[in-house]
Amino acid sequence: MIEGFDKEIDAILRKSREDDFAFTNNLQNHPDADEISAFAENALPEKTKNLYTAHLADCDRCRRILSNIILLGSEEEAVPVFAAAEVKQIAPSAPWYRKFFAFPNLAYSLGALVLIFGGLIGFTVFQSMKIGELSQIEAPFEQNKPVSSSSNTTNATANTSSNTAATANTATNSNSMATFSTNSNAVTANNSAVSDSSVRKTNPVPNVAPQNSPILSETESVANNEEKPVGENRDEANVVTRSLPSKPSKKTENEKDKSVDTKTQRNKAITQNERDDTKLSSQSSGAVSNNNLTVKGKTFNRRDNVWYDSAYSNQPTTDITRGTKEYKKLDKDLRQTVERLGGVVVIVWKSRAYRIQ
Amino acid sequence: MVSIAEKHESTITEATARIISRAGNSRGLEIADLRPRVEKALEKYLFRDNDNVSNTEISGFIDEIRADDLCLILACEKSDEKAWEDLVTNFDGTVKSAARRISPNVEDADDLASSIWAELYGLKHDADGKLKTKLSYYSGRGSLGGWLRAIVSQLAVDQYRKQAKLVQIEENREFENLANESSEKSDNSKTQAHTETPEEIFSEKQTLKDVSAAFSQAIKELAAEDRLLLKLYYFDDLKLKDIGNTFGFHEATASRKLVRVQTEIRKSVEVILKNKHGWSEMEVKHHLSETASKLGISFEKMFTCFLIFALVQEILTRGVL
Repeated sequence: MIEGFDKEIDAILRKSREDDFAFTNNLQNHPDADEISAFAENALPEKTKNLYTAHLADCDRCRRILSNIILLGSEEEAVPVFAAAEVKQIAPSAPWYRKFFAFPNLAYSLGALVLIFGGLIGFTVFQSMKIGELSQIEAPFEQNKPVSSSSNTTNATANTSSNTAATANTATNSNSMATFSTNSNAVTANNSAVSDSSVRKTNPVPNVAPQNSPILSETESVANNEEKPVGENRDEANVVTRSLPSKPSKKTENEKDKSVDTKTQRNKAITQNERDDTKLSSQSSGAVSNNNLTVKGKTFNRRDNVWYDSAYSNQPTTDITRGTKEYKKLDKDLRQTVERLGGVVVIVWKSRAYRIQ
Repeated sequence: MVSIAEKHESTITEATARIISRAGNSRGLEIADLRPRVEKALEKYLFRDNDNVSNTEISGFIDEIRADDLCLILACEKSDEKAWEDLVTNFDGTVKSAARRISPNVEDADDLASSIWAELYGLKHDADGKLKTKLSYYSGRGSLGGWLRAIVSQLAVDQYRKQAKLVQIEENREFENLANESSEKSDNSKTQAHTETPEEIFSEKQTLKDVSAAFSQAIKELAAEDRLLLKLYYFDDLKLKDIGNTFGFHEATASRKLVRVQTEIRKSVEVILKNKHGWSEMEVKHHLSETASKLGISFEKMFTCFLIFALVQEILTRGVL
């Protein structure tokens, strides 16, 4: 209904038929087609037009002709009438309410909903399968690789001492790093620290040097923070680029690990200290679960239910919880890597260390 | 006595010459060929009930004549083959589509279109031996397409009215026969079943009768233009835009006029019901609002039921959802 209309009168007139009002139509002298068409096109002189208006207002027949002309004329303006008529003839007869279903959005939205829910279910199943796979991978590691071999430790220790001297100031060499492998448990036991090892560690973590990962095996002699050797040269100590996590959490205080930067020791006393330290380490070595996993080119090892990036060197970490805004802001690859690992992950990404749980 | 046409001879001749010059294709017609038709149009539209017509008005009227359409029709009347070819080529579609739009089926539409072309060509001869053709009625004042649509519509309406009368007579006879048969065969012809009392039925009928009469009188009292506007809008379901174009005003003006007409009708109806039928103020207001709301509710109910039915049918047939 048009704004401003009298609702009641409009409703009554709209619903009523012309016959209800019993108009009398006994008019004579009907206008011809030329006159009605000229009237319909508003092509009559104003004075003459009024005469026809009076007749058309009261003559049903002529008004019907007039309304037909107006209707046909307006249709012809919109589309070529003949073409429209042809289309009408060939158009399949469908009930009007089919338009609701022909409305493409309904069908498309239903299809889209099916796809979305299917995708969600598929994703959930995929994720659960992945977790199952991960647990399957972890299981053999835990069974087969409890690092408690004192012989390995001993060998490593021996290598450490020998190669330390040989590779002075070249700790970045992977081969040498490989030879520095040692057991963290052994290291933590040593309170008599290497004299010129600088303790850089602020966040102690378990020091596990897996055999399969030379990158991660760059653990060197460890010193207790409390007892720093005299004559420690910090600058030199910092030359060593990596130090592995060396201390577990508070729960395992007896396995305190501290990663220590080592430098090439010219001083024999230092070397000796290291050797002693390593020996002590090997003596106090305990069972450590030692798992490796490579995801997206990054190698992780698992210690105390935490995945550590091999590139992690005890630098301060940024704690981020999954699902938070901060987490969502992280790099997509980073998130994918973390998702694949699951649990608590310490990862180095673009020179920054994150602890994600 | 000198006729008006003779009085303005030079003006008419000059304006007729301009028609020929305005036509894209004058089809070899001369002023003498056009002049009788132009004079006829002037008498029909301009000089009718108006003796004081100025030369300017005459010139203006003739200059508004559709030159190409009029030349085409006059050439057809002179049996110009090319003109007939052009007429059929350009306007057969108009005639057929108008016929198909009005007729109930394709066969009737084709018959109607054929009849139109036959009448345009001419089937009978006049006293002078010339073919009597509908082409002679075209003045060129409106468009040729509009005129052809008017002819189609005129013929269709007349045919429909004839058929409707026949059908009505037949229906009445059938009804009478059925009533007679029923009364003859049934023993309980006097039995009737009504949910309302006779008083209520009578009262309701009387109320409706009074309201219809009041509305009828109120509409009759409207000005001719308002009456036509109202009928075209409510009885013929035309759009306000199209109605406005016919009267030469904007759609918004048509809308405003209709609002005014409704107000006038309400006033008239209320006065008639009170003065003529003795209704009180309350009765008038109550009945009008009740009638309107009843109509609205019934329409909504009907629409809802139909929609539910359509949905159920769709689900059953298609298996949607």
